[in-house]
Amino acid sequence: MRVIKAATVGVVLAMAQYAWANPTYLIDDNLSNNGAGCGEVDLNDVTSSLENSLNNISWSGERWVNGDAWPQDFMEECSSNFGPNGFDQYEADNANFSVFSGHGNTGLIAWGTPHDGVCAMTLAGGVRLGSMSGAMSATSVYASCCTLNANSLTSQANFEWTRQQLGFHDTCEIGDTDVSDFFDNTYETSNKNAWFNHLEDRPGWFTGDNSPVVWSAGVNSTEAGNVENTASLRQQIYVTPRGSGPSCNQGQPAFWYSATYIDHGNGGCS
Amino acid sequence: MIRQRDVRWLGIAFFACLGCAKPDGGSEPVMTSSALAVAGTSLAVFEAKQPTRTSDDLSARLRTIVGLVAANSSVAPSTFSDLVGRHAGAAARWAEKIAIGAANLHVEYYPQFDDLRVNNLDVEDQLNPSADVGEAGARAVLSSVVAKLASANIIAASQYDTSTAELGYTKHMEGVSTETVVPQVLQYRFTLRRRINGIDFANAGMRVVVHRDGRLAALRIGGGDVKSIVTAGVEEPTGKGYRFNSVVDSAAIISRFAKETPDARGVRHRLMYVIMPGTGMVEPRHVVFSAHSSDDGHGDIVIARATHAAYSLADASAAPVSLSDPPASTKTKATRTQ
Repeated sequence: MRVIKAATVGVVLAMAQYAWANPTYLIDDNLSNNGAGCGEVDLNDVTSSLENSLNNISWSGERWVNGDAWPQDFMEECSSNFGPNGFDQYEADNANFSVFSGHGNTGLIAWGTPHDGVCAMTLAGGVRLGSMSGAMSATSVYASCCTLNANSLTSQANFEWTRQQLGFHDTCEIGDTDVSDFFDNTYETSNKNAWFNHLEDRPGWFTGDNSPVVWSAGVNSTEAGNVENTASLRQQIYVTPRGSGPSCNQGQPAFWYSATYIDHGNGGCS
Repeated sequence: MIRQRDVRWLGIAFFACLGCAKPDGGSEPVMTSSALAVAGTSLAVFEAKQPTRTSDDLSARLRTIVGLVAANSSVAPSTFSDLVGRHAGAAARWAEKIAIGAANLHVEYYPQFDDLRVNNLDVEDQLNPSADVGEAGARAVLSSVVAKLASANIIAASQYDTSTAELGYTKHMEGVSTETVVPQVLQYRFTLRRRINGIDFANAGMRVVVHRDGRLAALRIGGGDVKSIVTAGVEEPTGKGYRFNSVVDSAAIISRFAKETPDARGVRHRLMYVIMPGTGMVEPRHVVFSAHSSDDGHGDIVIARATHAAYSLADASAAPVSLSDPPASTKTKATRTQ
């Protein structure tokens, strides 16, 4: 009987990690930023191709661009302590896969157009993906420089409750199809290997100026390491919400984190 | 007869790295050069050669590279001809996860760039190896790999100089979420570019990733080529290639860049041959990697994604040419209401 129970629990856990009938995504991309109100320059489009890849395999979701991309999409809704008028429960934290593309800095993501007076926010101060309101995000990508700076993880990224965050340790260049190539490649390998393979350099270019980061979380070292080595978007491994996160304005519970990053020493973050 | 030309770069080449990656995790503002340009030097411009590789050739390359990464040289050739055959005629990237003996590998190939990557997943996934061969041990692995690639005729030994390899690291850290953990070196990542008359070629080369314990974790190799003929040890352009005398010093470009882009972050200067967009030509250029920073007007300094810009050595006033994907051109009007 105990064996059966254990097997049943194992199956349920496996399903929680592997199966998700209708994975969802949310993308905010900031392209035409010059003169839009947040003092930023224009950027290349790194998410159109990603959206195509997602839609091609029947993931569903929304891609907001320019003035339609609002900081409140990633802002925790449950309390104004996280900022004005957040509604992540309908947007980034209502999706399994949350993607931000724009300007950044250490622990920071920045939009090109202000909304409700907000241009930027920190991960710890405003973004609480995977917990509180919404609590659906399992994987986040920050296509922005410095956001996951390794020196800031304890004070910033560790306030998220996703299973995995992918971003950059310092300044970064991203080609138009690099993020979609990453996503497509998770059909064959883990998010970590695909992120490193595609975001250190663009194809046919050999400078290695990027420092991609993969951050993973678990209840202990074993689980965090397992998430790091096996989480895969297209294979749908660890794409479901992590669960058991903090409730609104509750202190962040301790957990185990595992972070691996490539360091080519560019610096440039503040 | 050797004229005053590209080989002169060898004489003034230096490696100054004021902010390269360091094992202890620290870094300062970056100003890096593997070589600097001097005015009055004869430089060659080459016609780019589109990489074309037959299935048999790619299979043979795979056999050698997989043999290195899997530490197994006894794999049947049919393994690779079958693998390549499954993707025959592919115009865009393909990837597969394959097992070679007990080793699990990831193979990926971009045919349009002849860019081949092989990862040993078993090695890559070992996050806490106890042994550390150190930089010297890792460099020994690099030298061994390059020698084996040369002996297999996958590269020309004369086109690679391991002493010029740029070293980065894979670092790993783990702990309780409230603890600040000191990252440990997990891998030594060598970026080694193919050299043309002593100058790096940005679009061709290799990345050799040596795990902390000394095993080869990954090997990436390939890229573009040029139409040339070697005369007295010097690559001379053929086809549409030609020579010119440089009129611009790197020092002047560095000064110009600092003046024109005072808000740049993460700046890295290099002298490199690059495939110039839309021209089909491979030119020596002073290449700058940098990211623009600005005040968002709401109390935060924000940093744009970086770009590579190529400065002319033939025209001091020429605008730099972007080597990166351009900003999106379409302006969209906000239509969202909730």
